[in-house]
Amino acid sequence: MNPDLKEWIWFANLKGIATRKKAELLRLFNSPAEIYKADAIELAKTGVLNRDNITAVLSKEYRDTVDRTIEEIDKKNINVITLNSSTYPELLKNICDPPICLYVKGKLYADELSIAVVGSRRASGYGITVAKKISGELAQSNICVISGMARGIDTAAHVGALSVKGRTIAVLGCGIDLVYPPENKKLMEQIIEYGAVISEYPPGVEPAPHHFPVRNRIVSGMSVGVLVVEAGEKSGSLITAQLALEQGRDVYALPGNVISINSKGTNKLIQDGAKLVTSVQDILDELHWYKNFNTKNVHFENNSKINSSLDNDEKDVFELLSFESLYIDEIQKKLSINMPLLHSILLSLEMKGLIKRDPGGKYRIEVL
Amino acid sequence: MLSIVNTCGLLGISGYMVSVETDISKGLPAFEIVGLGDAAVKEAKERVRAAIRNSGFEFPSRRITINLAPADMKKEGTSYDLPMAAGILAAIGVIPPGALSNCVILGELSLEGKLRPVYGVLPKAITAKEKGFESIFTPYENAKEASVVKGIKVIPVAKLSELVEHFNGRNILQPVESNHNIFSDEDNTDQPDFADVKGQEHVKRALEVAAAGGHNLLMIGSPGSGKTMLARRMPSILPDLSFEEALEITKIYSVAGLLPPDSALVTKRPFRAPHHTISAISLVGGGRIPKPGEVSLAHLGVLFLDELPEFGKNALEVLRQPLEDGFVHISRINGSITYPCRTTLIAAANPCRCGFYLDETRECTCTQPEVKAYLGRLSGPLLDRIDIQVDVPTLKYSELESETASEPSGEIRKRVNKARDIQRKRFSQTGIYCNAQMTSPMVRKYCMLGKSESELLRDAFSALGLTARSHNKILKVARTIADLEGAENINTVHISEAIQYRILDRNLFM
Repeated sequence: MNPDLKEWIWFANLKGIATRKKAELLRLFNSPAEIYKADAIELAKTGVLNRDNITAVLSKEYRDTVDRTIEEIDKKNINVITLNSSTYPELLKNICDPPICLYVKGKLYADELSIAVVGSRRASGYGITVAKKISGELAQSNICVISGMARGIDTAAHVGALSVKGRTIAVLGCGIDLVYPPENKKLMEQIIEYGAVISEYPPGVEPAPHHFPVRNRIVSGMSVGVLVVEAGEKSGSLITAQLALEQGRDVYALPGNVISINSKGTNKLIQDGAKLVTSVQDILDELHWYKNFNTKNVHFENNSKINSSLDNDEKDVFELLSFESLYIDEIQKKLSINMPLLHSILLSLEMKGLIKRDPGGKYRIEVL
Repeated sequence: MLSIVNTCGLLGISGYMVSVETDISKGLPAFEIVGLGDAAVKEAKERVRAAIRNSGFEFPSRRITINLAPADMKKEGTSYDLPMAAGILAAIGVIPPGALSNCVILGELSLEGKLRPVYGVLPKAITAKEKGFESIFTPYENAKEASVVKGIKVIPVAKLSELVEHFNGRNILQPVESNHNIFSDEDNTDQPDFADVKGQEHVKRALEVAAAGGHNLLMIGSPGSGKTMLARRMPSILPDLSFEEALEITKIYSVAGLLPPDSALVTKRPFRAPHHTISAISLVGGGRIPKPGEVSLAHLGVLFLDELPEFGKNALEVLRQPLEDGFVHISRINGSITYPCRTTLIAAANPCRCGFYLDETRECTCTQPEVKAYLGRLSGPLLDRIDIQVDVPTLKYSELESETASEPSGEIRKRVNKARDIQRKRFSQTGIYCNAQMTSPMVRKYCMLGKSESELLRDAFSALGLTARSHNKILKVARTIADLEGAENINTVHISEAIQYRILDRNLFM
């Protein structure tokens, strides 16, 4: 265990000081322990901190709360990886505002080839299907899939990687002892088993809207490229893409129907120069020069497990829903199955956990 | 001198005999009416006096006492005008005393002696017939309504003098032809039809199931998705009206004074759509002078409550018992009144306050807690009485344009009639008439499931998080779906469809 852990956590928890400034301070002082000991004049001399910052550094309040955080960490079996730690991801270390501490459940490696797969929370069947497929294939190519464990595409990305028992990392916008969104409890356990769940927020911090854009810089920071699967015009995924560009990462985007709201953002990204991705190969082609790229002609397994357990009608309905979410009337019109039978097909698929009925009566394929 | 004239009073939707006893004696000129008449009965004095004079007879300037017997029951309305006038004229010998014994007279008088229509004539005519009277005299406008009753002569009267002529043997009044053939072919022509509704096939199917089994139904959808349009067409697929049912509906409308003049029977199932600002009393009936409420006016038809969550909490609470029992009981000091109300409730609700929560084209302005709270108002006992819940999505423009013809109501009604026949046979000994009314023991008896069906239901409960209260409802609705198909036993397809009609139980509105 890190002997200076207390000071590291204290330093990370200081509020009102931008992470960028903290990084700067660390360069000047070598370690948080020295900052902990420094007096007001020493701090002021750096020229980095303003008056309020200095008050925060010196205040007793932050120094007292550290013990509580450490207690929590011990109790909940959470690892803390600090900026100077050997397992701190190399790529993340090199962004301009790396998180001082990462709270981790699961395993984290310093030099892992990772791709972020992100997208809209209100995803369509198309987005979910492709996110799952590409994430699964990335994982089979020994590439770690990083995402934010939010609803929709993020969940699909994790699920896709886990379906081939591949590595995946979830970066949360809350303390990692909390589960948000709550329905992903089981998913989170699986991610911890096969990969890692990480956050820069100490345990117990509730999710808040402003946490997520900040979290996104870690998602892109840990990856060599970001694939945006579906994004609306004002989607948070576009922030991730923007951050990725600033950090010098590649941006990939999945093209979509020009009318669909869910693809407005991704199509715009392609217009702006993101690489258009139609299959996992488009991403793999860009990764050859990374030293830890060791994909050798992986043969991608088709996820045909699902199909074998379905009868023909069920298969038709499932395939139809894989590409778009539809109301029961629309399904009926497209497949001309009679209404009572269609009800039973939909129920059966729903009970098998393959599709889900949204409020309002629209059916879409299930992410989990 | 004394005379007695027979007429009828109203209690709820049935009549009772009232004898109008007129006594004229010596003394200071006076005119008294006793027998618990309301203001309209008291004011009859002036109408009767003027009508007698203006019809060319002399009003006796002596002491007149009129008693409405039984004297301890409250009498309301203006239908006692004509019997009182006839009583006075009989007491002074203008009408021969024996002539009035075998007939019932009712009607409101104008000052010039002409007759005006009154309400409640049908139940009164039925009572008169049951008591063995030979004929009933009614105002012209009410004659058609009364003529529905078989076995009594209905004689329309235009003015007081005509009645006097008739009893004196000059100008005998002719009874109207009784018309029992009320189900002419002209109906259904101006009724809204499902053929006009494009798309929304699954909602139509749900309405068909609701009609076939007498189930109450709730539609949830954004404004403009066609909820009201669909509900309005519900009466057109309800089973054909029998004569007895038509009679019962007409009685209620007659008592409420809502029967259009010159109409005989109500031959269409009623559709009542009260606004959500309605008070509890106008919804279920009551008031100082009891009147049937909307739920009774929808008897054997459809009660449509649009914007269900917007209705007053109180109004929805009082609705529970009538929906369960099929009648409304109103208690008063001197007796209680029962109005029937076996109605199919069709309710509609927006998914949230602004209405666009589920809409794909317009943005919802509600916060998540607001959305949750909106339909949350409905939870509990009222929802317990609604077997079927469906979503009504907003239609796409292309569907509105589509040329494919929709199935007309007539076709759907045929299937509904068939399903109802099966149910009538099944329940012939039990006192109920449709699947929705089954009690728990009946559900166990008539909704037996096979092995695979029970398994499906059990799995569905755990997989979809259904609540216990939906168990019997799913079985009842599944029974109806099986009946629509003519199937003896409930199979998995029936169960599946019934489960899909329980959207609110499945916490899909989170």
